[in-house]
Amino acid sequence: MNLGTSAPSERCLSKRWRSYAVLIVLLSAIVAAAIFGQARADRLIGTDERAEQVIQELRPGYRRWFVPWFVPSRSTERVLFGLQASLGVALITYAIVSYRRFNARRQRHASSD
Amino acid sequence: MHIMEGVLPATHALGWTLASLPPIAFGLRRMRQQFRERPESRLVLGASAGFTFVLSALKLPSIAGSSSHPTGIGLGALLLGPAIMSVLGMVVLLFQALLLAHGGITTLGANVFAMAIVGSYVANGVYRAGVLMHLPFALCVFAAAALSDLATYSVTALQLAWAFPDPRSGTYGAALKFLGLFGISQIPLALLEGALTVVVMNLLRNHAFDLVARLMPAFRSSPR
Repeated sequence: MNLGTSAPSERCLSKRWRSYAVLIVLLSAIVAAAIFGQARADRLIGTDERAEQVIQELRPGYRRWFVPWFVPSRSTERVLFGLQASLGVALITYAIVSYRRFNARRQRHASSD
Repeated sequence: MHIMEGVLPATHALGWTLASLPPIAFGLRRMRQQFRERPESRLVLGASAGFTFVLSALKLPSIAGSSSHPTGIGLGALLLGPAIMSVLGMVVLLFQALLLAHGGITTLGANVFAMAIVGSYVANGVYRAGVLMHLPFALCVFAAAALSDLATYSVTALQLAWAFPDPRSGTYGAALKFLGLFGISQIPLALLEGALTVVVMNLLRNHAFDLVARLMPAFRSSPR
């Protein structure tokens, strides 16, 4: 679209869509980072595991009194974290789309009044 | 980082759960009231929950040679208020505890207290203090999100130090050890979280000003 010759409302719409597109691309990149970047993070020890090491230094032989019934493997964990990030992106996208509809409805009501 | 399942002694786990109940109950009440008075705030709630889900899923390598993740609490605490964000934070922690074995059910109370409650109230308090001092809007948002993240990890360190005092230097010595451990890994992530929150808040400011200003009274009067 030639922004120089388009109407102001069209330019505004285009600018708005660009912002949404930037946000969605940014969030998608974050999801990709959550899935693929985690492969690198997996090679490192998590801060929670580091904390457990410090607890062992402070109280040698201390054992957790309860262990979770389900502990995902590294690869399953990566997929689950990716799913969590995807769920987040879906919620944000839903909120943006719903807000645009809500706004359009409000503007229609305002112009008909 | 959340405190792992079964790590805290049972009395501490129970104590933190009891301490978290009143703010969560208050948050649920505020949420019902907000939905009744401003139904459109459901959209902001969805977006804030999404932001928290995305950011807390980002397990990133840190300079300390370990990995950790941001909390994503700051944005929702500014938009919806700390009481409602406490409830939302609890939902995220419950999801992670049940499905990812990250955190835990026995330590949910302690993690909710540190991340959802303290994180939310610190974000809101820092933002309001920044507005009162007439600091630039972006700086207020950045400081609120970054300090909320750091406050979460500081409280987690103190919770662990209280449960596992150093045999020689006591709780104080253990606190220094845990704070040192989390501080190095979390400061860069807190800065990243602050920057991301500013980007999202600026988008909201440009495209949904009226909606956000209705929910967040300090937003309209905040310095540009």
